[in-house]
Amino acid sequence: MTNVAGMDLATQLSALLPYLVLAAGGLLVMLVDAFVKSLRKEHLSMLSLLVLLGVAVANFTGSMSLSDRTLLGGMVVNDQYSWFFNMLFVAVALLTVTFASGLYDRDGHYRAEFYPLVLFATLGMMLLVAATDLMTLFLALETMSLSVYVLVAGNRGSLRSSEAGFKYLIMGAFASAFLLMGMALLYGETGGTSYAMIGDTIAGMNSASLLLKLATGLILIGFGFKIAMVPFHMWTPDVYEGAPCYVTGFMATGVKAAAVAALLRFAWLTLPVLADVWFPVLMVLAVVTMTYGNLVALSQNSIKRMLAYSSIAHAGYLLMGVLAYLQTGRDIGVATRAEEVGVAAGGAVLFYLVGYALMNLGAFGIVTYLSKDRKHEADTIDGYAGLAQKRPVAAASLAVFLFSLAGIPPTVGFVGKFYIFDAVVKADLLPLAIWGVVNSLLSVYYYLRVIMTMYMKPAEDDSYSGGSWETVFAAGVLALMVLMLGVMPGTLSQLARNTFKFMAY
Amino acid sequence: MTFVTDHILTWVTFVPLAGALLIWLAARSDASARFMALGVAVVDLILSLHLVRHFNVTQATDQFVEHVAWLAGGRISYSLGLDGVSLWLVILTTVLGPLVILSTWTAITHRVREAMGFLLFLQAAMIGTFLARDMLLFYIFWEAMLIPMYFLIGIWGGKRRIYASVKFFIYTMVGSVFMLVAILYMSVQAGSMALADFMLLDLGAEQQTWLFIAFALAFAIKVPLFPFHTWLPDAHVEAPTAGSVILAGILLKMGTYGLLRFAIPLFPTATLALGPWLAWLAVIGIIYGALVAMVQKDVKKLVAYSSVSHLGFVVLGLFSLTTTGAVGGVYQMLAHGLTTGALFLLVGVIYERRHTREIADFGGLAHQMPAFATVFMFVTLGSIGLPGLCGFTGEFMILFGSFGSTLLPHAKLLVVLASTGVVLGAIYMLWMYQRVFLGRLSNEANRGLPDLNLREWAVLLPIMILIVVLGVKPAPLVDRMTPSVERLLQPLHAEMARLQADDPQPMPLVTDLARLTEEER
Amino acid sequence: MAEQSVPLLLVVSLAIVMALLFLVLSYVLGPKNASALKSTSYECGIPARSSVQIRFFVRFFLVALLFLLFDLEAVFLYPWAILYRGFVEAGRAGFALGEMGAFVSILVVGFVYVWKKGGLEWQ
Repeated sequence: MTNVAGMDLATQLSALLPYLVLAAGGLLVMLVDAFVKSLRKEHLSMLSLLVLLGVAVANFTGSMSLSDRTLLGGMVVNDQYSWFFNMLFVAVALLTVTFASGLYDRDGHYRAEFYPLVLFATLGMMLLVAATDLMTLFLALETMSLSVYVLVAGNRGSLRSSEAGFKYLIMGAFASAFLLMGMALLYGETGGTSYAMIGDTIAGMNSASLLLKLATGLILIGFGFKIAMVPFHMWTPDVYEGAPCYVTGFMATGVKAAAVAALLRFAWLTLPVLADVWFPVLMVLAVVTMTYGNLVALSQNSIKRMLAYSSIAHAGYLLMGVLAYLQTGRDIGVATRAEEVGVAAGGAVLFYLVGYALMNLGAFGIVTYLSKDRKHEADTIDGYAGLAQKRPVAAASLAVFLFSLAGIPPTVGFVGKFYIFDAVVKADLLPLAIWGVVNSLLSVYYYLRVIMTMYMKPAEDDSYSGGSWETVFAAGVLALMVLMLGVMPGTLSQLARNTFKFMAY
Repeated sequence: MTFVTDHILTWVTFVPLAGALLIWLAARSDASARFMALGVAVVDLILSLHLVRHFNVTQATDQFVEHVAWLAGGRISYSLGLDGVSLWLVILTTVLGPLVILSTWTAITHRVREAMGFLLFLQAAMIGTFLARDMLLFYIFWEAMLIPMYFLIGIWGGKRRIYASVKFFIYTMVGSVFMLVAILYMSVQAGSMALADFMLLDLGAEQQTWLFIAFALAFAIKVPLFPFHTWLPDAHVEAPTAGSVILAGILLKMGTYGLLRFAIPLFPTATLALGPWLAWLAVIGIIYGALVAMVQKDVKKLVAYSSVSHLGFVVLGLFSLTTTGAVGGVYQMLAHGLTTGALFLLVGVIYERRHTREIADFGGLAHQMPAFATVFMFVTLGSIGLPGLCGFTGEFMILFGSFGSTLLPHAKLLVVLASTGVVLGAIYMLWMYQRVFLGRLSNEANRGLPDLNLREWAVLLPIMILIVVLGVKPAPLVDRMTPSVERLLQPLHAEMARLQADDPQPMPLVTDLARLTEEER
Repeated sequence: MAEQSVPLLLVVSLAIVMALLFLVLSYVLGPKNASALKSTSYECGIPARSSVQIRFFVRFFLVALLFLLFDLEAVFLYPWAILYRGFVEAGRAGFALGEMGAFVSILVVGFVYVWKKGGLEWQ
C-alpha cells in the first residue's frame, strides 16, 4: 500500500469527490427541506436527482485518472471496482427517486425525509464497496443500514411498514453484531483492521487458526443477513412486503449489490481461509438458498412477497458465482488456471448484479406505477388481470422483466445466468450448475403466472391501472436495456471482467 | 442488392422480427396489422427463395456462412450457416409463414396486432434455430421460440388454454435447460461455442452418454417422442389454428432437426449405443400414436396424435443411421409439415364455421361443402402416404433405409412394426373422413355451411401444389439434402471405422459396440 | 493459536460455573415457604399502588433520543483534543482542525434540521 503522507490532501479530496458531493448533497436536501417554506413536492426530487447526477459526473470524471489509489490512510480505496459500483448505485438511486416521486404525486402523505435518506443510504453503499478497512466497512454498512431501516418504515400509518422497519432493525442489529464480533476476532488475530495488514498476515500463515476461521465465518454471517442468504433470510419476505414498493426495489437491488460487492472484496482478502474452511458450508447454503427461495415463491399471491422470495433465490445464484471464485483458492486442479476461472466468476457476479438491478428495479417500478397510493399498492397478483389491454407498455415491460428474472433469452437475465453457470462449470462444479439450472426452471413457473395473469385473463373492476408517466417511462427504458444487454452484453461483461480482474489479480 | 445478398441469412432471419416490432409499434388498425404481417412474410419468402436459387448442390458444408465474433472475445459468435438440411426446413418455414397469417384473417379477431407480431417473432426464432451454427446462438433462438408460442396458445387458445400454455412452456424448458448444461460443459472443453469446435472434441464414451442424454431429452420432448408427448395433444387442442399449424408444421421439426444436427454427429459413440433405444421409442410412438388417434372424438386431437405417429417415422429414419433413412427422415419432416399443417388449416376452416370439432357433430359434409371435402381428401391421402403424393416418398425412404440398416439391431423387426403404423394411419384417417364427410347430412346445424372461400383457397392451394410436387419430383430436394446428411453421419462412420480397426470383426452389432467401448476405456 | 485463547476460555467457563453454582446453591440451601405476600412486587416496603408499566408522553423519547445523539457525538471531541497537540507539533494543525470542523458542521446541520422541523418544541 502506498504511503498516505505522500499524497497531498487536495489529490485525496478530488479522488473522494463523488462521496463528498453525495454527502454534501444529502445535507443540502435536508436543509432545503427545513428552510424553504414554499417548497413544492417536485422540487426535492429534482434536487436529489441533480445531486445524484453530480455524483455520477464526479465519479465519471474521476475515472479519467483512475488508478488504484489508497486514500485516507488506507481507509478507502479508489479503484475500478468501486468506480463500477458507484455507477450502479447512483443509477439505482436515480431510478428509486424517480419512481418514488411519481407515486408521491398522487399521495397525500408526502415525506420529505425520503430523499436525504436515499442519498445517505447510497453513500453507505458506495463506501461499503470502497472500504479497505474494517472500520470503514462497518461505518459504511451502518450508514446504509440505518437509512434503510427508516426508509422501510417510511409508510407511516401502515402497521405492516412499521413492523417491517422494526423487524429489519432487529435483524440488522443481529447482523451487525455478528459482523462486529467477526471483525474483533479478525483484529485480534491479525493485529490490524486494514485490509493490507489482514491480507499480509493471512498470506504469511501456513494454515488458518481457529480464531481466524471463526472470524471469517461470523463476518460471512453478517453479509449473509444483508444478501438474504438462507438461513439468515427470515426478515426478507416481511420486510419486502411491508416496505413501500420503491424502497423494496431499492433494497433488493442496491443493498444486495453493495453487500455482494463487499463480500466479494472480502472473499478476495481472505480467499485461503474461505476456500479452505467455508467453501463446503457456503456451497450447501447456496443450494439451500436458491431452492428454498424458488419453492416458497411458487405459492405466493402477493407480487412483492413473490419478488422477495425470488430475491432470495437470486442470492443463491450470486453465491454460486462467489463459490466459483472461491474454488480458485482451493488446493485442486482449478488452482492452475485460477486467474481465468476467477475472472470469469467475479465478472459474472458483477454482470449479474447489474442485470439483476435493471430487471428487478424495473419490476418494482411497474408495481409502483400501478399503485394508487402508498396505502393501496398494486400487490396482489390477481389484480394484474387484463393489464395487457389496459396498460400495454407497463404490461410488456413487466413481462420483459419477469422473463429476464426467469432467465429466458434474449434478456440480460439469461446472459447473466449463462455467465454464472459458465463460470461454475469452468470451476469444475458441474453438479452445482445443474442444480442452478433446475432451479431456474422452477422459477419459470411463478414468473409465468404473473405474465399469464396480465396477458391471458380478462380485466376485472378492481384490476390495477396506471400512474405517472415518468415511472412507466423509466421502466420502459429499463425494459429496453434488459433486452439490449440480452443481445449485446459484450461491453458490459468485458467491463465487469476487467473490473474484477483489476481488483483481485 | 449485395447489401442484402451478402448477409442473406441474417435478412431471412431478422426480417420477420423487424416486421413484428414494426407492427407492435406502428400498426394503427387490425387490418393494417394483418396486411403488414402478410407483406413481411411474403418478403421473407422471396428472400428465402434466393437461397434455393443460389444453393450449391454439390457442397455438403454450410453455405452463405456468416460469422461475427459476438461475446467473450470471440468465444461466442454470431454464426449462421445453411446446408441442405437447413435449407428445406427454412423454406418450409417461410412458405407456411404467409399462409398461416392468411389463415388468421377471420379466425383471430381480438388483439390482432399482438397476434401478428407474435407470429412473425416466432418465425424469426424458428428460422434462426435452423441456421444457428453457434451453440449459444442456437440455444437463444431455441428458447426464444417458447415465448411467442406461449402467448399464442395462452391468449388466442381454447377453454383450457392457460393450462395448455403453461404445460407447453414448462415441459419444453425442462428438456432444454439440461441441454444448456451440456452445452456449457462442452464449451469449457472446446474453448468456444462454435459448433465446428464442438465437432472436434474428443469425448470419452461415458461423457458422450451423459451429454447425448441431455441433448436427446431436449429434442425428444420437442419431437415429441413417446413417452414425452403428453404436452402435445393439450397444446394442439387449445392452440388457435395458426398456432397448431406452426406447432405441427415447423416447431416439432426442431426436435428431429436437433437430433440430426447435434445429437448424432457430436456423440457418435453414444449414438451407436443409445440410438436403438430411441428407435424403439419411435416405433412405440408410431403405433401408440396411431392407436390413440383412432379412438379420438375430436378431429384436431386426432390430427395431433397422428403427428406423434408421423414424427416417430422421422426419428426411426434418423436412427437407422443410414443415409437413405436419414434423408427420408428429413423428407418426411417436410412432408409432414405440409400435410399436417394443411390438415390443421382444414380443421380450422370447419371450426370457424361450426365452433366444434367433434366428429359426432358432422357427417355427410361432402354434400354441403364439396370443394372442402375434396381438398380434405387430397390432403388426407398425402398424409397417409399415397404414392405420388409427398407422404409416400418420405415414409418409403425411411422404411427402406431402416430395413437395410446394419447399425440398428433388429432393424427388420422395427420396420415391420413401423409398417403397421402406415396401415393404421390409413385406417384412422379414412375412418375419420368417412364419419365426417360421407353418408347423409345428418346434423341440421351443418346445413347451409358455406364452402371454401377465395382466401381459404389461396391458403390451401399452394400447399396442395407442393404436396404433389414433393410426391412426384423428390429429386431436386433429395439431391440437395444428401451430401449434407452424409456429412452429418460422417462422424458415425469414422467411429465405426475406428472400432473395426481396433477389433477386426465383421460388422459388430451395436450392443457389442457398447461393450467394446466400455472395455476400451 | 489455540493456547492464546486458553485464558479467555478459562474466564468464560469460570463465569458460567460461578453463576450456575450460586443459582443451584440458593435453590438447594434456601428454605421454601411461599406466601401471597411474598409474591407481591416490592416497592420500598409500601404496597404497590398502580401498574408498573406507565405510559410516557412520546416527547420524552424524542428528547432522550436527541440528547443521546448530540451528547454521544460530543464524546468524540475528547480524543481529538488529546491528539490535537501531536498534530500541531507535526505541523498539520490545519488538517486536524478542518476534520473536526467538518464533523461539527455535520452535527450542526443535524441540529438545525431538528430545530427547524420543530423537534425541539414541546408541543
